[in-house]
Amino acid sequence: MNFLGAWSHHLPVLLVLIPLIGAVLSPIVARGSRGWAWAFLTMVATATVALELLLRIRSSGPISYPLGGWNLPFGIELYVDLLSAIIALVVAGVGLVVTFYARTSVRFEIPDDRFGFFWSLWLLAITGLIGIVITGDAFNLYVMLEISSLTIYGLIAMGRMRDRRALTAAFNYLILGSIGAAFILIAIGLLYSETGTLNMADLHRRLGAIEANATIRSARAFLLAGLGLKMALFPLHLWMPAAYSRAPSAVAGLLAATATKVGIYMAMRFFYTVLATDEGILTAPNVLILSGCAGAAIVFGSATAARQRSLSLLLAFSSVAQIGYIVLGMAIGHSDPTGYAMTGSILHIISHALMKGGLFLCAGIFIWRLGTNDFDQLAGIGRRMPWTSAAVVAGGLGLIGVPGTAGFISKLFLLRGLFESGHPLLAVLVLTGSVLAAIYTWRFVEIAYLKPPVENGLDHSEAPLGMLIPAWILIGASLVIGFYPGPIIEIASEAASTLLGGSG
Amino acid sequence: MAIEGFHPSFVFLIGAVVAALTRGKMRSLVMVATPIISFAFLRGLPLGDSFVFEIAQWTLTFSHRDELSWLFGLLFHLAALLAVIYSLHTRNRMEQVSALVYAASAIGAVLAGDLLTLFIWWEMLALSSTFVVFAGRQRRSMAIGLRYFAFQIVSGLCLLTGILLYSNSGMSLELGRLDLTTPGTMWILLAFGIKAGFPLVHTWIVDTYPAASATGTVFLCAFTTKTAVYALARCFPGTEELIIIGAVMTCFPIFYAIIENDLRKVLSYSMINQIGFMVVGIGLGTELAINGAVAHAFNDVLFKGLLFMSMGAVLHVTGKSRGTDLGGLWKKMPWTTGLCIVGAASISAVPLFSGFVSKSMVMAAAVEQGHTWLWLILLFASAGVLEHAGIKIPYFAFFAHDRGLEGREPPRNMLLAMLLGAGLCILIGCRPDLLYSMLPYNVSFEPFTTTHVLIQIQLLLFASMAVVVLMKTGTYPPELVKENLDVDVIPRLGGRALLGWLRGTFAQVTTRLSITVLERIPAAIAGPRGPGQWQLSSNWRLVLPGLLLVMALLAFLIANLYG
Repeated sequence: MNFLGAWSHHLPVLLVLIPLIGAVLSPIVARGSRGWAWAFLTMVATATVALELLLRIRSSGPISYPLGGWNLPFGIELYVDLLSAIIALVVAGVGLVVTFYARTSVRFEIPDDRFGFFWSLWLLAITGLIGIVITGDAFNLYVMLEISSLTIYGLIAMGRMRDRRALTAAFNYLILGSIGAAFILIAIGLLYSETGTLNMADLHRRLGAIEANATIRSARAFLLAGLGLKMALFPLHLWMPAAYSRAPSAVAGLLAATATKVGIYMAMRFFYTVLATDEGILTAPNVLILSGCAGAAIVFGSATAARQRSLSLLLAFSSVAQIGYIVLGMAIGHSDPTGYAMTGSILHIISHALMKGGLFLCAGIFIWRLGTNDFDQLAGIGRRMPWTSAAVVAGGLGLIGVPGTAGFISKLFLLRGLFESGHPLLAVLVLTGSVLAAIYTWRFVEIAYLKPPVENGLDHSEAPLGMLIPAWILIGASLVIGFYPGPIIEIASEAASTLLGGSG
Repeated sequence: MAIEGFHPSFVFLIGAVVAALTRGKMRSLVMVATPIISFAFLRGLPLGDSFVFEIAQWTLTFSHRDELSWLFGLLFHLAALLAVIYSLHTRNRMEQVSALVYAASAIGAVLAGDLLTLFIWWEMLALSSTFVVFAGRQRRSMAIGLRYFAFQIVSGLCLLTGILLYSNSGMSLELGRLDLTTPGTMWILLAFGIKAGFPLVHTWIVDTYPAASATGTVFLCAFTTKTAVYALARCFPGTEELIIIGAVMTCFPIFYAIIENDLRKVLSYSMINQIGFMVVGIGLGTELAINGAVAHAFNDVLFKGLLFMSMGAVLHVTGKSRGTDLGGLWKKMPWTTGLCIVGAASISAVPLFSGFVSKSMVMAAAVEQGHTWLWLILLFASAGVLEHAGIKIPYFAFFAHDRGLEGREPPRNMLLAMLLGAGLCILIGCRPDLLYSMLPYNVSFEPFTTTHVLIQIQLLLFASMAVVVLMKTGTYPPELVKENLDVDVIPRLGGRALLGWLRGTFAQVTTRLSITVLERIPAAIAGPRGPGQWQLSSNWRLVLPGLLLVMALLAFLIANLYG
């Protein structure tokens, strides 16, 4: 698949450059409806590069790419290993599908005169997210984090045409997100003051050579708090439900699938490579807090989801719980010699990105038809919009972890990991979460299929294919993984063992 | 005809998809063709393991063909075909599609070669059958379906827990004889037991089966419990605990069946009783006993299916299934009456009908092993079967008082399915060697010895006489419109109480708590915002997460600096 010829060793930088240039040129070269075509083309190119990169790394190992020819560790390095490549492909792939979806949804959710601006922000957000994943430089990571965060605040605020409260949601997230990012910056600063380097590999090396002191320990604390917010780890999730449910549908789909996952990627990167010294960041008290928060997230998130009155809010709270699963696997990953927990965590990043992305797209379809996805308006929708409703049910089954869905595969690994590492109680918690997920999925089934339809004079026919196909691509992909999990498991466990190897 | 290279379960799954997309005659055609085509693929499966997938460190074996799995595979295809024909007249897409998935799961489960694959199909079985219950489309279907689902999910969770513990102790996940001393196997036995209707966890059978639609029950009664019987026969042959469990299962349902009014519920209790015979056979574990258990499972699917079909026909025609509402239908439904009597004769183990040739194997095995008391219990249970299933069902439905019900023969497809079922019952009853040749072990067993036949006929005559005497003297328990209490009262009342508590007190307390912690305390600190108003102001919506963030930072600082 080497179609880039001599350019092929520039793959890592292309992955950031393509969407970045696309974003910059978007308001200039493409106005109005052409904006979508431009963004879509950009995303096709980005996703292709991401796929190519993943294949290359699988065959020939991690790639280090010094930007601008500056020598390491002084120049900025792009460093792509298997985990980065997986997450980058998730971001680019889901981004591509959601861009396809956005063509229809954006038209009625964004004011016409903002189209150019929207596509520009959209591509910039993806640039930032991918940048975080493939950079090998701690400060560069912060820059990319700010690029993605600022654009995401803007994107959420664009939901104002549908729901004025999008503005407050975006503002709240702006304030909190900025503090969180500041925490991360402080942590990076503290590490820099102690080691004099910003290159991640170099940081790791130098941190290993010195005894952990108060500065380094404070850096860890700031990092944990900041990342906790970016990951929306309970109880720092409060910005998320409002932001996800009021953002434009396509934005909600993109964020739910990718933004928090990138936060988790940062945590994995810092915990398992940069800060993985002898003492490490995963000390007993930290693991206790992280797994405690994750456990609370699973129970609280799922229980709250079951009480929501609209599909978007239900999905958002369910995300709180699902992030709990991922963080749980990551937090105890180092104490599990078999690597199942870590593999489960990485698998769940992938499967949750597909399922939740697809589900939010479905929620958006209901909004597109009915103007809302409050449950009282969705009564009996299963008969009127069978394909959309079926997609929601299929995604919900995945959230429960029914065999045959991607969610089953990842939870199975997570459970085995919890058993292997001697945490049977947490395993019980995970199973409890599944039962609660069954309850909130059931709520949708009950409303959509068992209640008599409401008559509100609105058009209830099935959604246009332009929205239905992308939603089903994501849900379908999660089902395909559920039935043919082999290759994905292989890649994920490879990535997990690389990560865990770095800590040993 | 035998075709190679495709897994029968997937034929059913594809059939389900096609059936979901078609309608009318086309769907009927798909429904009937699916089991037939699938059977050709079943015959094409190679002996031993095939469809083996290596996924990471796990090996999933989707097809493990030996005598036992082949026999159950054949049985499930037969059952699926009969049930499909029986339900051709309905236009219930949800039921028909989920029934095909249900059959696929049952066939997949009996073909599975390792515990993980079994678990996958086990869960599919639970899910798809729940939808068959939901498709009953009655007012109660939903609640009953949820209760049913709860049992099935618990069974699945037990199985998963068992598998995890078992594989953790370093055992291979290949499906074979399990030893109860190995960790995790108790959980696996419990999982199988829930699905097989062990005492105390049997309530879902009598709760669900009478509540499904006339056609849905025919599917339900064939697959779930028999899959569990298969799993028990595969994993726990010769486990002595099963003898006691099985003996209890053969006896206690009799009392319930005698006083029960709803005839389909009578059949459900009778099903537990029949499974008891199989469980006893598996517990005995000799070659003869296992053969008997398996053969009895085979026969039970056919005659129990036939009885459920005939009661379903009555329900379809009259809309009633209670003994107190029915009676005198034999003039209007002569064919159904005759076919029901064939089923009743088979279940009562009348010689020359199918029940006889398999039940006598289990009984003979008990005697052979020297379990005299067990043999007596089984004898008592056989008499009970005759009473409640052999006499009560046809008597109250078709004879007894003529209540002047409107009646006619059911649709032709129903009759055809019943005819096929009855034909098979008589065929196996007269030519038991056809069935014996397919059993897992080679045992020469001659059912029609003078002793066997004489004992059975005596038993039948005396039991019938007892019924006649009781009826004539008026001491027979009268049919009453009432609910009989079973142990499921405890979980049902308990469940209702728990649900009430969750919705009531628990919800209130948690809501109060969260309001107090998240709104009232901060609001109290900030000062009240007006008389009686404790609304969270928009500032708090921002400050609260901020506070939490700072608290998290503090927690992490403390943990890292002083932890």
